[in-house]
Order: sequence, then C-alpha cells, then structure tokens
Amino acid sequence: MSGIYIHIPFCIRKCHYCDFYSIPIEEELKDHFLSSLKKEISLYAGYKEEIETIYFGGGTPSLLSASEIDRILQCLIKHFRISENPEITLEANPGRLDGRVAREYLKAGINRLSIGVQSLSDNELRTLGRIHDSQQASQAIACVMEHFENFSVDIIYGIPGQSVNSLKKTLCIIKDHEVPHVSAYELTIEEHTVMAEMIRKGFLQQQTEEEKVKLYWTVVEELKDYTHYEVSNYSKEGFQCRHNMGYWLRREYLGFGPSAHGLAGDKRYRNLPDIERYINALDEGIRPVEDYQSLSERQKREERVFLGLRTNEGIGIEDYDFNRDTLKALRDEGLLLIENGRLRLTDRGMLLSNRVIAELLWS
Amino acid sequence: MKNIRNFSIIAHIDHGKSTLADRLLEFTGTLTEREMTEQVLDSMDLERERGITIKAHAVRLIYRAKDGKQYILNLIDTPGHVDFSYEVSRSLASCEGALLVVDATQGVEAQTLANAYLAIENDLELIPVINKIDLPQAEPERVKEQIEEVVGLDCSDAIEASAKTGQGTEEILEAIVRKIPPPQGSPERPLKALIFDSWFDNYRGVVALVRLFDGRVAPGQRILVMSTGKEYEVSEVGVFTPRMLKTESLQAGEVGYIIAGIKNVRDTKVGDTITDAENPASEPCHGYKEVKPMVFCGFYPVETADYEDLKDALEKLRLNDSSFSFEQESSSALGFGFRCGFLGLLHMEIIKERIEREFGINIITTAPTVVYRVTDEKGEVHLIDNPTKMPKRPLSIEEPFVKASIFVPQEFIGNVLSLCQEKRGIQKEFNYISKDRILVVYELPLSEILWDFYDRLKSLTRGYASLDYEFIGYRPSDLVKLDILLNGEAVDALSIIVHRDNAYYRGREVTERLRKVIPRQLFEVAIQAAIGSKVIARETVKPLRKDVLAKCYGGDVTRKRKLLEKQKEGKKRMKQLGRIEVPQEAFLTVLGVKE
Repeated sequence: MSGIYIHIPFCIRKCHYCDFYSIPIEEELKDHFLSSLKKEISLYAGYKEEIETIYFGGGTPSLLSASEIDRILQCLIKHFRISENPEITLEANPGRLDGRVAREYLKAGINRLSIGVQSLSDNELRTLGRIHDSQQASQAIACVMEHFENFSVDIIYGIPGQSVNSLKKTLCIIKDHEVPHVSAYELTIEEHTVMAEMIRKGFLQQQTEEEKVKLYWTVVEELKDYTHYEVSNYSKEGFQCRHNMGYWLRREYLGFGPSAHGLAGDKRYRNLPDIERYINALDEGIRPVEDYQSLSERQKREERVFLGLRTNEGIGIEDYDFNRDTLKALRDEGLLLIENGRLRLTDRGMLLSNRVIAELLWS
Repeated sequence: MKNIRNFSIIAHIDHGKSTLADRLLEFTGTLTEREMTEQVLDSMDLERERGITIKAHAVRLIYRAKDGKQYILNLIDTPGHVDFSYEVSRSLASCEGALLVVDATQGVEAQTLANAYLAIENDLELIPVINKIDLPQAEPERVKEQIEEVVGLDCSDAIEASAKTGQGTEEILEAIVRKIPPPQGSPERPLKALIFDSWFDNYRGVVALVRLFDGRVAPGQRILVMSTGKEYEVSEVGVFTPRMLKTESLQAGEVGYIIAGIKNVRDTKVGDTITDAENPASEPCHGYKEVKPMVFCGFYPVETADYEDLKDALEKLRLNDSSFSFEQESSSALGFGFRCGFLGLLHMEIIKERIEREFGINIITTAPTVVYRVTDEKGEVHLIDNPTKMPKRPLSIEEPFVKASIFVPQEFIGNVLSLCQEKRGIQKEFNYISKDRILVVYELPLSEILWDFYDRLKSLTRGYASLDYEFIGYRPSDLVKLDILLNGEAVDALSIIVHRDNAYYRGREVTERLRKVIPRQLFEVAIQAAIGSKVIARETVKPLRKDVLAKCYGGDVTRKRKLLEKQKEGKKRMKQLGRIEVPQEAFLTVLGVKE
C-alpha cells in the first residue's frame, strides 16, 4: 500500500503567508515541466507497491486543465500498479472552480477535491493575499458539491484580525453546505513571507497565543459533529483523507515534482526545489533528488510516535516502552487517553502535542 | 647568609606589583630582555593554572649592590585575594621584609592595609614605594601622608618609583639590601623549613616551596613533616631562577623547593614545617594552623552519568589544593553529588570554572552556605554546612562573623553605610584617613558577604571601594531555614538559611525569580517559600496552552523532526525534579544576585 504525491509548482500569484515552492505560471515552462514530470514518473517504473492514493498538491494544481491531469494519470497507470479503488485528490483554488471545471476533473479521474477556501470573510482573504473572495468560495463549494461526493475545504485560523465570531461564521457556512471534510490549519507566520514583513512593519498584528488557543477551541467546538481525526483535520464518517492518513501511519509514498518529498523503504528523500534544476536533471535522465536520508531504527520509532499521535488512531501502547509515571501524569492532566491498548491524544493534548510527544519520548 | 635578603611585595590589585617585579627581574639580569615577557610572575601563575590558582611563587634574583658585594634576593610573591589571607601570612612569614607598594594616584586600599598589618605582625621591615609617579595625577606627598597616618609607617625616605618607566628600580634594590635584615638562624642547627606553598606535578609528585630558618637539606636526606609525622626521602632540591634549577643543597636563610616523593599536597600544607627525620627541630615554625573551608556548596552533575567523571575531577583538583575539600552527598532533587568546601567565594568560582572548562563537565551548584554552629534540643552542638541537615527545632544557631574593613571615597560613604546596615553589620570604626577618604570597619555575618556584598559594594561606589575581611568568631543569630517547594514538594537543593527578619523578603524574591526562570510546562507549577510548614510566599507558573505544529504538508516531516530535536536538546539542559523541568539557572537564582 502506497501513495503518490505530485507537486504542481505554479501559482497565479503567491499568497502572503505561503512559503511553499511556487512560481508564476507560464505556458512554455508548464509544458516543459509536464514532460519532465512524465520522465520522472517513468524513472520510478517498476515500483512494487500498489498505489492506493494519488494527491495533486501545490502550488495550484487546478491551474492544470482536466486533460493535462488526465495525461499525468495515464502516465501513472502506465508505470504503476494502481489499486481498484484509489483516492485521487486535487487541490483547487475556488477562484477558478465552476461546475464545468469540476465535471471535467471528475471525468479525468479525480474523485476528491480539496478546495482552498481558507476563510469566508473578505477581509481575512485580503489579509491572506488570496485571489478569490468569499462569494467565489461559496459558489465553488456549491459547484463541487453537485459533482463530488468526496471533497474537502481548507480553512485557516489565527489570521491577523480574525475574531472568534468571524471564524464561527466561516465554519457555519461550511457546515450548512454539509462539507464532508475540513482541514483547519493554524496560520504559521513563516520567515521571508510577505506576511512576516507586514507584521514586522506593524501593518498587521499577530494573534496572541491566548487568542489562537480560543480559535482552536472554536474549531473543535463548531466541528463537534465531525471526527477530529488528526491535529488539523475533521471528517464525517468515511471521509478521512486516505492519502494524508498514509503520512501519519508511515506508509510509503513517492513524491514527484520540484520540492516533493517521498518515503521509500528506509529512506526519506526530497526533490530539488528549483524547477530549472529539476528539469535539467530529468533532461539528463537522472532522478531529481536533492537529498536522501536513511533512518535509524530509533528515528523510525520516533517518527511512528510523533506521526501516529497526530491521529485519533494513536499508537499501540505495547509497541513502545514509555515511562509509566509519565503516561499516568499525562493522562491525569487530560492530555492523552489509553483505550484498548492504544494511546491517543485528547483535543487538549493535540494542542500541546509537541510537548506531550517530547515527554513520552524522553522522560 | 648575610648576603641573602628575603622579601615580598605588598600591593593592591592594579597598583603595579607585577610590573614592578618585572623591572626587578630585568634590572638584575635575572632574565634577559629577550626572555622578558610582560609580567613574568603573572604569566607563570597562568601557566601554573594547570597546577593551581593564584598562589605564591618565588624567584631568586642576583644583585651586585653599590657596596660592591653580590646579594641573593628572594622575591616571594603573595596571592592577591582575601580568600587566601592565610597563604599570604605564611608567605610573609618566610620573609624579613616587604615592599609596600602604593599607587601614587589612588592611595592606600583595604587589602594593602590588611597585608601591611600582617607584615607588621610578622616583624617585617617595610619599605614604602610610591608607584606610578610618572602619571600627571600622581600625588606622592598626599599618599605618603596617608601611609604614615593609616599604616603608621615612616615615609621620610619612601621611594618614588615608576614600574612602567623603570624609575626608582635601583633605589628599591639598594633599599632591600640596606634596610631588610639578613636572615638569622644557623645551618648547623637541625633543619627547620617553613612550607609556604606546594603543588602537585604529574611527573615529580609534590613540589614544596620552603623557606629554611635553620639547618640544611640535600638529596638523600630523610625529612619529617612535623604536623603529620610522615617521613620522606628528599630526591631533589633547588631554586627558581625563575625556572626550576636543581642545586646540591639548600641551607638556613635560603628559599627554594624540595621534592621528596610526596604524593599528596595534603601532606605539605602551607604553614607546616619540614625538619630532619633523624635530628628533628625541637619545635616547628610558629603560626601553623589548619586552614578550614569557610564556604560550602553542593556540586552536582547535570547528567547523572557524569558522576564518576566529576569525582575524578574533584580528586585531581584536590591533589593540588589542600584548602579545598569534598565529600559525597545526595540530594533528593539532584541525585548524587558532592558537598564541597572552599576558603571563599572566589575559591569556589575558580574550582567550578575549572571543572567546567578543563574537565568539560556541566555542573549545578547549590547555594553557597557558611558553617553554622547549631545546638539541638538535646543540647548537642553540630556544625552544619548544608541547610538540609539543620535540626528540626534548634535551641540556638550561631553563625560566623567577620571584621570587614572598607576604604571608600567620601562621596559614596552613604551608600556603603546603608549596604552594611542592610547586611546586618555593626559599625566598629569610622575614620577619615584623608580629606576625602574614609575607612569604615564593620562586623558582619560572613553569610551576608557571600550573597552579593562585593558586587554591590563595587557598583554602589563605582568600583572605588576596597574591601578586606577576617574571621572573628561565631555569634548567635536569629536564623531560620527557608525551604522552597515546587508543587508542594520541598526541593532540598534550594533550601537556604536566612535571618528571620530577611526571610519574607528573601522568600518573595526567590519565588519571583524562580517564576521567571522556570519555563511553562504542561501543568501548573506552584512555587512556594516556607519556614517550617508556614508558607510565606507563592508564585505560579501557568501551564503552557499551545505547542503544536499545525501542518506536516506533503509528507514533509523534516520540520517536525527538527523541532523535536530542538526540544530534546532543550530537555537535556533541564533538571527533572519529579514532573517539573527546572533549568540550571534556577539553582543559581537562589544565590541572590541583585539585578
């Protein structure tokens, strides 16, 4: 069982908070990229694991047309063993999503859309530097609903200026649409982003820790009819993101495209982050990998703990030799639960997961 | 013997002792100019830091005087800190005279005075030298007056000198020859040699620096160390030129070293007497006393695994320093460690720094404490060097007092008086030693000097005050043990003994500081200060609310891993007290340095 992640590095413009690899879209470069991507895929032909999930992330994958997506999928089918019922997700920007586009993606084989709504407040969207407004976002959701049973909406909390009430409003609209899956990410201010600069200059004010904590609990509370199945993910029964679950359960995945990450065998790897170097490597017929990291048993064990504890499945308690007193103390604090031989974090524990995990691993 | 002169230099820090010593070495040709590095005595001290500290040293100078005769001048250096005053007294006891060097721009300071008195007690001939005469702001006449008034020394033929330019060097050498009496004693009498310093050399064992008062000593001879009764066979004797130079023998009046297969500096304590084993002296040199550590604290390895290494390090340091002691102890908070005894705070800092720097071991130091004399309910007297050993209901507690002499310019006297007042001082003297300088003498509890006295004295007087103190005995005080509790559990390593009147203030201060240094944890941490079961101060460290990495996007776990590694490193620097992680600086917090 394995997954494939494909990084589409193009954007119309960069959002203020984004530090992922992306570049402005250009027809010629896009065509060159697509042919390189196909070359890269072919270099992994013969990969033995069955592919369960495929995920187009970015950047803005919805800048690719349905037929371009279709050709990539055909290429994957040619080189890999794809399971009978794969989950194939595409991240889509609400600004360019209408009924026609949604239908075409569905036809091309996409069976799950992840819509980058982020917020349904125009002020907040402007602060984030998104290219869409709240009306477009609501419409996009409505269009997607018509064609897709399985889709997700991304939202961000902790945006400068965001209030508990405006977050509630966003979440209520999402609930009204009966969106089956919500990813709610806390905004992290990354260095060298427009937003970091605006905060530095005093144009924007960062939310305090106290406010962010309140917003987190607002999400948990508003989405109580969903299962909080991962630190930042909420779903209705049967709509968990299988691809992302693969990451948390440490299943293998191949990453294609510039700056994509992969985990195969004992190694994690990272592709060249720069599109030109990526294309050049593939022109020479070599895998565009920048760095491999072999993992020791200890590192693998630590990964299983810190990834597994992000999910509500947690980890098997018998598999680890945790300090009993630590376990007891963390449980008494209401940070974790031990049920049926599995250890998992509570909603409060998830909010403090970095610490809880450090306690478990090193005390 | 009549051509030997043994002398020391008494000076306050920065008054030019080292530079003057250099000039003497240079003028007498003891070192050629090429060999002269700046401040030879100091640099040798540094070199000896491998051995130990800022202790005494001796150099032999050969000088042809104006009378045409050749003299051997033994310059015996003295350590420059109040912690080592006994060593200073033994160095002085090895001399017949001393140069009293006073900065012509600064005047007499506390340490100069204390050491001058020590020299007078030892019947030394004092030669006043007014140094830095070349500086435009020099006031030699005023300084001479001051010396006459404060030290009571005739300054009519005081030498005006500049160690920097070399002015007065010859005059000083002539004065040494003319004024300082030659050593008395006889080579024919039984050997009597005063140990004024010793250190451990990895290849040769203990090197004892001695002044011979009677008799002679040569390789092959059997010697006896009088206070221990232990006998050794001499393998080598010699003098310092300043390099070690082997000689055939040493005899009465001379200064040099003895190597005799001695394994431990404890067997050659400063002040002890070496004599001939077959034909011993009837009595030792007078003035020997066992130097007892005055200040104690716990040293604990941050990593429990470093315990054995720490023990090795302490043993190696003790090899070279008989005034430093340690024994095993355990703390419920910190695990296994050592209770260490020192002459004073500087001594403690030197040892701590050497453990961390030379041996690479991270240690936690508990609050330094003096030795209390405590009478328990049954009337038994205990010497308590660790607050945790304090009996539950003591009948009485006595604490060591010192007599502190402080020299201070008039403009700062108010600050100094209120500092001494705050530190429970009793004023004994208040004298104008010149128009604008005052000498105040206070009796103060030693424990008060330990906290932050010196730093505050310096900052309250912009560095112009100088301090010297000596132990004067034990006195009853109203003292209590102040415990610090973290989430209701007393942390033994944080307990301190304080005066009852200061307990509330200290309790509030310590808990407040701890709140600032203890990071937020997964749960609330209550910090309390208590006397017995009575809580007198409380602070709370609120629990951490949020620490989570929201995204692991596209399967990129490197960021998460980096974060985790950082946390792991951070955890290593913490000491785990039960469930609470306490940073090392928390233990320093109770030392009470004022911000």
